Amino acid sequence: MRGEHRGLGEFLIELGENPGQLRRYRKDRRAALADSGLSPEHQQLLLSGDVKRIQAELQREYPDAKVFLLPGWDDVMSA
Amino acid sequence: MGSLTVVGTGIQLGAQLTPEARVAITEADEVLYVVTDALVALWMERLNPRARSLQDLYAEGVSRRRTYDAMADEIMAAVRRGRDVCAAFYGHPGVFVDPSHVAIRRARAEGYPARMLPAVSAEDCLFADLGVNPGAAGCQSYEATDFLVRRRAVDPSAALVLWQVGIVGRLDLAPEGDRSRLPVLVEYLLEFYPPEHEALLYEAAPYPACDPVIEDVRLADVASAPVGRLATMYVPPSERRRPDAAMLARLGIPETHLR
Repeated sequence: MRGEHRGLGEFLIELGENPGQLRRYRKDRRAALADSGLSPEHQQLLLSGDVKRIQAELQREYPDAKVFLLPGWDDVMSA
Repeated sequence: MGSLTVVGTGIQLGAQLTPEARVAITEADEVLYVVTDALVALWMERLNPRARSLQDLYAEGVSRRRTYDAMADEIMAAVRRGRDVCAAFYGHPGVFVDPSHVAIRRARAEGYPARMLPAVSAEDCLFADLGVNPGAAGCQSYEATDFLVRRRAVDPSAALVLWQVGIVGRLDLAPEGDRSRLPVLVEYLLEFYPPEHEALLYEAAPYPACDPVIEDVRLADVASAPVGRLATMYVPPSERRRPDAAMLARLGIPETHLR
């Protein structure tokens, strides 16, 4: 999935950082992905819209990253 | 003299960071952050190479209260060293976040300038994605477990937002979610709403390339619905409250002004 293709995380960060690119993506996802430099597998993954699979792929891409805490009830009780 | 600026990253990576918060992050001497996503962490460290996570302060067996105190301690230690400190939290830094408020209070008590900047919260995303106006009929908003254990009264003429229904009844992190107590939630809601009333299960999109997840289900069917770990439930009003004639008269509002 990698090699000559750009990373999924890199693409998502760039999309979040560049409102013009994000606008183009939202207008025509397939065209934006075709120009993205992502592997065909990653393009399909993003087209699927499956957040869990996207996060799993990101976890593979950044195996050392620590993630995903969710506030619990006691957070709210003390607020 | 040190200072503290508390910011939120918004829910969706990058796109929801306000310009003011971005400057607070990029120009800080130190950035201390707590986010829920590895990619957001990576992005924070790119925005400011002096950024570091407070995630390590979470530890199994340590109460969250103690962890939050430790986070506030860490933030304040940097402020006391004379640094311009930015503390960054996922979403809105003052909504469902405690150490941000604690750090602001401590900094001010010690005479340091401290400010919290508003940000995009999960609730903001919900209103936009579901196309609902909380001002139309009012809106009640509760954390799901708190809602149950306090037997919060529901006004069915106003909207109801319940947070963390995907882990209702759990006091720990439950990383995979836990739907086992959903029947209790449904049972309680049916004291206020008819079983066929609509409920929307909502999960905001964490990345700009993704869409939100929205499931439209009957209230009676919520327990068997695909409720995600981060799901929020929105229950629209089931009835309309009539204006009180005596109050209208007292306020001098003609009844014809109300639809």
